[in-house]
Amino acid sequence: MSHVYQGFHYDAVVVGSGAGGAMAAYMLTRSGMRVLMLEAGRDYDPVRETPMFQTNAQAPLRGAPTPDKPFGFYDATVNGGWQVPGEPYTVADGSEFLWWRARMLGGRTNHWGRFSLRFSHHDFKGFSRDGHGADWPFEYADIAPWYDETERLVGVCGDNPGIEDMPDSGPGVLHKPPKPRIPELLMAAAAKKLGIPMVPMRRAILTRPVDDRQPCFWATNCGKGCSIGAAFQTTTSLLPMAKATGRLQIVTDAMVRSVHIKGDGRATGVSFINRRTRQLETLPARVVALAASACESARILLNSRTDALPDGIANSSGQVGRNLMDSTGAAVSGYVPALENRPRYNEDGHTANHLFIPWWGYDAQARGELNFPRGYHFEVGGAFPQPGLGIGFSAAGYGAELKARVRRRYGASVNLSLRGEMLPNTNCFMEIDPQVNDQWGIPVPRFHWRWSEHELNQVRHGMTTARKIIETMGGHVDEPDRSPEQAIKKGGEIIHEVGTTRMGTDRRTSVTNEWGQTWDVPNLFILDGGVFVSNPHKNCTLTLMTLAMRNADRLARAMQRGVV
Amino acid sequence: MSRLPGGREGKSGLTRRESLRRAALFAASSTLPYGCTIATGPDAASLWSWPRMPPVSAPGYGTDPDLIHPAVTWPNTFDAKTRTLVAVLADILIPAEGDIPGASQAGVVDVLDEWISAPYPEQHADRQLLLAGFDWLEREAQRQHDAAFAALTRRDQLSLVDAIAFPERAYPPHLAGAVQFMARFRFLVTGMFYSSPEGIRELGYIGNQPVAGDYPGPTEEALIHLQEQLDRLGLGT
Repeated sequence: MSHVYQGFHYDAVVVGSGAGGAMAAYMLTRSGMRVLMLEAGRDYDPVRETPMFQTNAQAPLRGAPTPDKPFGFYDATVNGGWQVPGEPYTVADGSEFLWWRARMLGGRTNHWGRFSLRFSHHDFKGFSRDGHGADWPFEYADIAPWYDETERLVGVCGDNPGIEDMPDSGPGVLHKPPKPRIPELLMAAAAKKLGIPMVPMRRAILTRPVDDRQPCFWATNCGKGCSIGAAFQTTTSLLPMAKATGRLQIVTDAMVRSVHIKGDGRATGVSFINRRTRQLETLPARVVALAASACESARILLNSRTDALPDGIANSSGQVGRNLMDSTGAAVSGYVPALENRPRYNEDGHTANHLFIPWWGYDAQARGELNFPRGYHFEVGGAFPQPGLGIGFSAAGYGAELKARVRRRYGASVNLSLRGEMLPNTNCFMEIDPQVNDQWGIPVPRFHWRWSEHELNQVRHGMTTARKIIETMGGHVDEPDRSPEQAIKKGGEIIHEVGTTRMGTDRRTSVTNEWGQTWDVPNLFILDGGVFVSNPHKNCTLTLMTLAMRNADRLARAMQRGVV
Repeated sequence: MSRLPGGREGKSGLTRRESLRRAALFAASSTLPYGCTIATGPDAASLWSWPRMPPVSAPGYGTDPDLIHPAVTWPNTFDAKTRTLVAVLADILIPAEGDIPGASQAGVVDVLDEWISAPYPEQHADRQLLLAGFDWLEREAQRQHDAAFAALTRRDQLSLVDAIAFPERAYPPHLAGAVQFMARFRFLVTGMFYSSPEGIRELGYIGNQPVAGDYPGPTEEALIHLQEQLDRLGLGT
């Protein structure tokens, strides 16, 4: 049984073209299924639109961030950011939360950091280990082969350092990581003295060719997007690959509002706003897969409420919108005289950190020496950057002395950005705002947020550790001491929001089963970060894609057999 | 007193709020309450005052600008006299050296004009601060030397700059606004110069060019320098 939209026959509707949706489309189409994909944003072509070698001097305001482009002029975010024009969200009194969105084909994969760290056996079984949160409904061993498949397809550079926090990838899967640069080597020596490991970062950056995609040529910031396909984004990989099967049709400017179900509890289709005509359109569907992002998918479920289901669909557990998590974030920066006046060379590399500090504290936690249960990592910075306005921070005085000082200090600053695991708590959730609609008439989310002592203690530990590392490098921290409450980034600010439709083994406490299939609506699937049970410190996209691959594979086989 | 063509009260709520916030800030930090009058004479410093701002009503570049062919969507602000002052002041901060031109020749005056004319909050705050600072400097030049800043001897120009260019020094509180102005002006001029092609050449940034094959990593010279530092810090292996 298939349906037709504008002459295209389709078996499934996939909502969203980012990491989860594009992976779902790739898996379904290669299994012979025909997919109609609905994307809320506009069409986007990285080959034509990426400002690869454009410099800050060629951009308005030297490329500096503005409310129109909060990550800078060249950031590959279209019609988005912390605010989307005409599409507000609200935050409950006493809460702070930020919600980054992009309204473009490929979603946030066009600009993401490409950090791609596997979760480990610890990460999937946190509750069993320390009694907090909940366990995932499978083991690391169940998903390890899927990580290999995903990494092979995506293209991830890095290595297998053989440390507890970083499970090995399969033989030959990873691409060769780039050599570390001088500030990273100095920091690694300091960290080593403190007993802290520093190893190659894993990033979704090709360092050898894969299909049509070229390897990294060691220039141009990945946040601009990558016209040669070296830095992974769905618009240069999964989407064109799925389209090449002839079985994917993408409809852009299609903002999904709700999923319809009928009396037997099955989904019958979706309604979306055609942003060009501003009209509501309704499509029938045999299968609906939501991958609109954790908060957008939960919003759709909650907005799909009917008289019979006033709390939204797929929500008999009451868990839709609950368990909202982000990563913790905090940054420490310092000045390192040992890096002054050092010999110049090309430090662009793959434009993010070649080395990073994985979590090293499992033993200390097991011994009860730490007052926080979950770990963190440091992404580190320090290089000769392509000069932008920020170089002005190194100025003092005026004239020849000012100039000599700027030259001396160029490339002598370092920073450590903490990314840590937060635990789910009952104060962090989203619901539908009873009063506010967006410009399409769709009720908007209202966010509630409060960090717990677990996150604050973790950030305190991280700030102290980062200071020690900088001081061991012979440097000093720039800023005055801050409390964890001052230092921790706002909820949502790290843009790792997950958990709003979590998976589990018990339909009373979870929204989907381990396959992303909603307990209540058997032909409705969630293939984005909403299904995360916990939010390990390792950046969510790789695992999100791995789950989407595994679960879309199962969905495709079920559809082939006619089970779904 | 405003140096601005057609100076009018700012219309945006944000401008007014920011203006009041700044006023309160300096009132709190100054022995001279904001807005009070002081005796003016040859020995008294000019009072810092916030200019009345013309509104910036042009649109921004929007949330989906053409990134390949960027366009600035707002008109500039500086008149000829201001341009002259900004060029002289920017070149005091970043003078020409050898074959590297100074800030004004590297185009910083234009970029600064673009910056303070932009319809965004950060730039609007800088617009107030910088225009007030230029105004203060001109009044001080007139008061002390009876001439425009740009027409002063280099020695007299530097003596005025010295009076506000070192925030770490204990300046009299009534100079707080001018000191803040100079720090921000320096941040912007320095960043704008060193991100220009001329500044990049001086800094020695190498990159933004494709490299075939593996990333080459540090040069031999860079590794030797690192080893010296590791040894010095007791981190060598």
